[in-house]
Amino acid sequence: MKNSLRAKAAVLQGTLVLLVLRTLEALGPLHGYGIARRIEQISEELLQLNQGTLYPALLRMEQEGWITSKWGPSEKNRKAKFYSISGSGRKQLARETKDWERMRSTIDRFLGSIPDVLEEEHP
Amino acid sequence: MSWPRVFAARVRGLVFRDRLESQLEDEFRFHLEMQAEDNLRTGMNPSEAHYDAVRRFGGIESVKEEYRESRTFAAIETLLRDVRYAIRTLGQNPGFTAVTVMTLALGIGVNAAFFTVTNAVLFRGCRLVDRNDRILYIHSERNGQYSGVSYPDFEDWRTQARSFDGMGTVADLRITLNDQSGFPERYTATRITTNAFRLLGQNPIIGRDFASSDAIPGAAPVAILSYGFWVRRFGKDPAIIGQTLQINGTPLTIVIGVMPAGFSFPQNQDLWIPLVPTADLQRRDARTLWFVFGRMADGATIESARAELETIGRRLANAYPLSNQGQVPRPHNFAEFFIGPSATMMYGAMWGAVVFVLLIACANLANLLLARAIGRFRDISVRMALGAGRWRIIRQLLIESVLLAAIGGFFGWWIAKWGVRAYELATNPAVGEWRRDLLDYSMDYRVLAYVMAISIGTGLLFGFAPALRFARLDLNTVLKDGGRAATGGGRGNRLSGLLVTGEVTLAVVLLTGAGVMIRSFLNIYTADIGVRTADTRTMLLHLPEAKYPHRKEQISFVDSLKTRLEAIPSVESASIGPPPAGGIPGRRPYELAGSGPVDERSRPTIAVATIGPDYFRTLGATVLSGREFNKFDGVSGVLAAVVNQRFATQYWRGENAVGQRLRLFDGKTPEAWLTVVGVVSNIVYDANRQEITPLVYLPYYGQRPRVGDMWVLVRTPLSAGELVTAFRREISSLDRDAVIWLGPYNFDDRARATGGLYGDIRTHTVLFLIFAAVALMLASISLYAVIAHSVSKRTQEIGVRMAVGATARDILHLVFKERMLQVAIGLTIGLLGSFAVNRTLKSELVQVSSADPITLGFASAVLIFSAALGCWIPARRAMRVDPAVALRHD
Repeated sequence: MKNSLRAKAAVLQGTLVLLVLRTLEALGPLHGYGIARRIEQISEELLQLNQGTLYPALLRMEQEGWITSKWGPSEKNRKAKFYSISGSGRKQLARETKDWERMRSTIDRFLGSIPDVLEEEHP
Repeated sequence: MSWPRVFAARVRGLVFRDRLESQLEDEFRFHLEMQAEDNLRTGMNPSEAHYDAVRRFGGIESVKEEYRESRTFAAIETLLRDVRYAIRTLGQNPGFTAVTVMTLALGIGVNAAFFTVTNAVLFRGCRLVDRNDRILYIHSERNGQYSGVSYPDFEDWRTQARSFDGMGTVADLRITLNDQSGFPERYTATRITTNAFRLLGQNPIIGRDFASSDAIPGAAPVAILSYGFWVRRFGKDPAIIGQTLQINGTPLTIVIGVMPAGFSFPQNQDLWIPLVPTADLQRRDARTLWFVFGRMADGATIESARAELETIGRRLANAYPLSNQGQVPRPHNFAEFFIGPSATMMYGAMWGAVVFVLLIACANLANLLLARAIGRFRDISVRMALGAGRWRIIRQLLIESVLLAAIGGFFGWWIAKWGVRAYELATNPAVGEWRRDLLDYSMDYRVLAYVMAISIGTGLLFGFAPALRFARLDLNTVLKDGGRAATGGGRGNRLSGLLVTGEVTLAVVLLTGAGVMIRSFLNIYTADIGVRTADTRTMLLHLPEAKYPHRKEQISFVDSLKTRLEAIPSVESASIGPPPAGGIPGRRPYELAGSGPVDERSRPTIAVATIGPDYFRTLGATVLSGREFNKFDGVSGVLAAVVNQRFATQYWRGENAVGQRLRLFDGKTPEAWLTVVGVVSNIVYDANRQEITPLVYLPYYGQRPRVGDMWVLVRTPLSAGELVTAFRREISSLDRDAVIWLGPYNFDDRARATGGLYGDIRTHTVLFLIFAAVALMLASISLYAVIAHSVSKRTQEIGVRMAVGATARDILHLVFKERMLQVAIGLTIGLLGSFAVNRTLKSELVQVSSADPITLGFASAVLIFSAALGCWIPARRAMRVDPAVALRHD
């Protein structure tokens, strides 16, 4: 059980960048809690991640220069750190989207075709 | 291509760490509060809402840790944290830290100082010479004895040897020049070939270098000044180039250049003049050049150069048997040539000695650290129980020890700086002497690298033993037993016992080494050299060659010098001749009257000294039979010789030596027969060995003129200081151009003064003494510290034993038995080791066996005493503790 959880987390790690960048592109500057909530809502709570793991990812993305951060007042006038997507972030998003599309279509083809081939070879 | 950006971001992360850390706190708190508020809105109660927020977030601390690792360089961050923790720990225990740092500073300081000295001798070479290690110094050798080089030989070596890119030569150690223009002043100069500076890789800072045209006979005389001389005499006047100096009455000498500050090849020069190959110089039997030096070609080694030069030497010996028979060219590196043939071995041995000292310091600190680590078992076990990895703990301990070593290294550097300065002041020969300022003791990058390497190395070395103990720590036992289980274990005791044994071993080797050196030096110093030196004053005089071409002028100079000096009140007598312990006079072939014919080639040789009248009276030696020379010997009457007692007993045992005849040879030509007119007591001329050789003395007045340096000896109760003015006055009234090179000085003062007669041995002895003192100090401190610690750990046990009736004797017996056994084992191994080590010192020892029982006994006694003291004091303290207190001792 622990293993399957870890595997899921690994997949998530890879897609997390895509999810965050897409969220920021769609909604504009947002704080960490907002990003976490948004990902949970869109995935209808299926992608259950530990919200905390988001932060190291945000840090790495900021170091890569894909997002920028700024301290500002939140909706309830509290100090919060807002993240927004940068120019190179948008490029990265486009790249990751394309990769993801290609991956999805490949997986789709496998799921659709392989059983037939197997049947033909083993009558 | 994003790593530069990430790298920059991480550097920022490192720099702004504290601010970013508090921002991280803020951000997480904000997140948790937002989640909790949202939860409240869905109807949870406040505590439920908070708990749910934390659960959804995941492990806050591990997320933070992950965040921190990405924020900056993880390794550096933890390193900084460990260093800060180490500083705090060391600060909590200032006594321990101070002792450790002092021990290390001493160990590293002695090491660095000695490395600087070794560096100067073995690696740096002559000041400001480019790639010193590629320069070889070559001279001719006959029957293993130094002999000068003739100019034609030099030319042949230079043109034939392929192992060298170029060769130059130095004609004189120094020549004295008198400036007769402004105020009279004496310069030291040397004649060198015009290619010398190019070979050495230095150019004049102003003016030009010598050109080959400067060395053509008849060329205008030119000179290049040393920087120091330029500053001293001409106030750094840049217009000096092209000006003339009038030297020694020779034609005007034109200054053409000034060398860079510090350049003084081969040593301590005021100026250099080109070596002009005159007809005199072109004779192959005139071995007037001091040495030849050459820069090795790429790929050549000293071995290949030696082989090639030997071949050339053989070829020359075949071609010119008359002058070159038996002459072998010998290349040397700087240390061998200027310091002595055993320089590499000697300095290597002493370097070994200081490394021993450092090893003792290491063992010492390992012991201290081990003792302290045992005290920290509980603390560290708790840390490990809380999840600190073993490697992390070991690393922490190593960082602590390396930090200690680094601080020790820092202070060690300063100790070394002072030490080297003191060493230089103590060993630099007096002004005007051979080898003054020869060595360059600057602490260069090599010394820095060495200090850094040994600091880190010792830190790791002495930190490793205690750190390893933790790798095998059993948490449960330690925590249960309050730390006592770990200390009671055999392993810690065995390790510290091993260290004690090792330390004693090293200390014994060093102490005995130092001991035999010191005994040897005392033997030399107190030895009877056959003369009464207390009232002897000495002076080295230089006569200008040009003014004394014939025997007649010289004899008349010496004669009036003697008369004038003896006219000074309270001067008993004055003479000239070689000073005792100043080196054995040169040897010449000889023949005794009545001895059978011998093969020309194996004709025996004898040391021959040329002396003035009253030489023996002046020195206080005894004329055993016959008489010594008077002012008529050599001038008229029979050709007289005086022999020493050793000679007389060796060749005319049981006969009367006076009246016997012998003759000397000039090459293969026999000279006239000499009649022995007197036998005198033995005088020792060899400075180091105390060897008495058979000697023949000849009257100065009968010899061919030998201009140049002349030793003047005076017998008087007045001290040298009281004589200076009188001497100067008398000599300058005799000849304005005569130069007092050295003195006058008291013979005994000079013997005591370093760099003088006993310079080398004295230096070595003093160094060994220092090492031994440091080693003994470190070993004693360490023995005391370890034993004291182990005894204080046993306070409880001792208390119980005392409570059930053990006497003080029993307790002392207990403590002594354990520790003295370790000391005894160390002593045994050390004594065995010292036999091996001292054997390498044998060539340096005078009248002492390398296994001298007095020295070995003394060294052992000193160590046993300090070990016993180390046992006794802490044991006594433990026994005075009230048993009730001891039982409660944790």
